[in-house]
Amino acid sequence: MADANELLRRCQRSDESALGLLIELLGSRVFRLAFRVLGDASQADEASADVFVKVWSKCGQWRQDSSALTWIFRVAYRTIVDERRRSKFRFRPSTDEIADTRPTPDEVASERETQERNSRQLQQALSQLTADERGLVHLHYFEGLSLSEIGEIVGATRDALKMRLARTRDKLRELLTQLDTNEKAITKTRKNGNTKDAS
Amino acid sequence: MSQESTKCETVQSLKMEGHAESLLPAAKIVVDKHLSECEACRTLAEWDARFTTDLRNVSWPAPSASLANSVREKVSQRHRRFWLSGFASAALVLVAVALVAIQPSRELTVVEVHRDGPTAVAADDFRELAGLFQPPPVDSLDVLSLQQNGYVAALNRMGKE
Repeated sequence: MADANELLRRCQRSDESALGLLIELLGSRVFRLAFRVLGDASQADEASADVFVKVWSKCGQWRQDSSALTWIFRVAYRTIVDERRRSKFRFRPSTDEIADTRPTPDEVASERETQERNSRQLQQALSQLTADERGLVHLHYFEGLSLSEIGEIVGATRDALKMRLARTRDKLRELLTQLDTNEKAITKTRKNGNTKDAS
Repeated sequence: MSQESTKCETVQSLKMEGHAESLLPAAKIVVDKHLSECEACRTLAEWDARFTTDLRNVSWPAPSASLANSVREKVSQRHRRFWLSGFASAALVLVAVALVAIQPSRELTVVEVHRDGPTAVAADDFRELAGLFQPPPVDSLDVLSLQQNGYVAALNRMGKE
């Protein structure tokens, strides 16, 4: 499959088949960013579609001074964050992912359980962040983009970005520690309750 | 600010840059050396690594299979809207031009207020009516009027005498 740069160049020449290939190539990455920020699959779907419509209508503005991926992520980030600001929808992590993975006190703490607990706590912690912060976390930690790429996407200077990332990381660490402490306390209480019931 | 904390900040900054494995070998050596010596920075680095793994392990819902179709539909809607608004604007301009071209010459209409209520007066009547309020043309009447005034003044003078 052609790379994003080539596909975007073809889009600039009004080649609609290139848009289809671009969606195939980057659709799930744009969707993940949207889902991370919006927290709802159907909204993320809608936002992803809007992103590619904008990519199609504004591709003429891509001057090839940044990579197509960075440019598309910039369009995506703005569209998604604007969508989030416009909508009254409040971020909520997918309950399916959380409810189904809640371990019972009797279960042995396997590696999978630990991973699921981490995932659940992570979702909860992320839900406490702002849309911008969630977007940053996704681009930095999940996508592994460089600071200059993220700077171009979110429209921030390197120094400002470093500060925002450091602040967001501190906030996340604090939230995760708090969630972990709470969960341990709940598990301990449940265990004590079960021991008393058994005796 | 101590030299150590400055070093920590620099390394943290480099670590952020190096998240995408974009660190130069020399910078990587500096970072690794500092991490082996500084526990606080090591803890942060470990947290970063663990968080990245956890975040990438989170299960994701898949985007809808109809994403491409939905985009195509929206794109064609936009095209339709674009052409429709173009045609609508052109039609409006044409209508405006046509209206200006076929508009009848402006006729004045005054409203005469009667006791029974306002009544529209035809333009011809208005012209007549307006004529009454025009200053009289300078013609023989004016001359006569001036003469009359002169006679009156002369008679007055004679009467006094």
